[in-house]
Amino acid sequence: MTEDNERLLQQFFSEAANQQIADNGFTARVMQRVEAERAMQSKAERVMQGKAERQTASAWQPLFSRLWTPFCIAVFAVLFVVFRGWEMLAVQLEVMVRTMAAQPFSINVLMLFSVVFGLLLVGTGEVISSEIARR
Amino acid sequence: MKNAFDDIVRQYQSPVRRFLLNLTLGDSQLSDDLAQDTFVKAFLHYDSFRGQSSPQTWLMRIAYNVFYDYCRKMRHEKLEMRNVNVEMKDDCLAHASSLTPHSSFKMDVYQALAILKEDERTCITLQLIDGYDIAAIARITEMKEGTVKSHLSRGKEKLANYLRHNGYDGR
Repeated sequence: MTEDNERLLQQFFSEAANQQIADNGFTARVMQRVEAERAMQSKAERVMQGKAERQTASAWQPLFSRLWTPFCIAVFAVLFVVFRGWEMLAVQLEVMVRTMAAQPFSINVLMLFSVVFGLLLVGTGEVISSEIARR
Repeated sequence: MKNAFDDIVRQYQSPVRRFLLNLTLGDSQLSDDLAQDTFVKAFLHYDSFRGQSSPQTWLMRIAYNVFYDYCRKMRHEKLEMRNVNVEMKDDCLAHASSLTPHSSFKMDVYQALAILKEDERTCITLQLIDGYDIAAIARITEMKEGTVKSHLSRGKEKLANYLRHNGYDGR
């Protein structure tokens, strides 16, 4: 029975098995599409390359942000040591305590300058970081 | 590389298009679109072809995957493949007279293939029309050889019964 089926089907499909399909411009159409795909692929590659370059550039931004804060702290620490900040603080604290009762409100120019300088240093860093991020 | 690929398309377009024509039950427009997709994919992955199988087997495997991607997409769009088969069969019947001088014969082949399930049709087409053995069919479809054998057995049984029931005795 199986052999009969096999013979029957071989015979039934024999013509289909020998069927040849003429090209009729098929190859040309495929090659046109291949060209289009290749152009699209190279365009996509260029876009990806540009994106990668931008990513490389923007990779510096978090590094800069990370380094700016320790830099500010380091500058502050160096200045604190060079100008013997602890002595100034001790003097200022002593003066403040002694004059507290008599002078309720006093502005020390040096302290004010230190605070403004610190704020400027940190603020500049933030401005530069945000400008890089915007690009 | 472009010229070499041009030669490959020219050389293998007939078996690939015929395979897809049988899988789509004679829908020449659809099978040509799928064949184009097959060759474009082959071109894009040409570097990955290591010559472990013949170029034709490699192309048939891509064609099979392209066809099944299409079927999955159709299913995804809530179109049952059964309905597509019916549409394909109807198209085939509707355009039978305009195909070729052997169109009535082709119509019979597509009608017969239409009674099979997708996997059975694929295995039957690859063996009885394209002449692949079971091991090659397993490589193309990524099925186990045992699975291929059972699809072939069931498909042949169905087809033989169908042909006899419709008065075809092979003489």
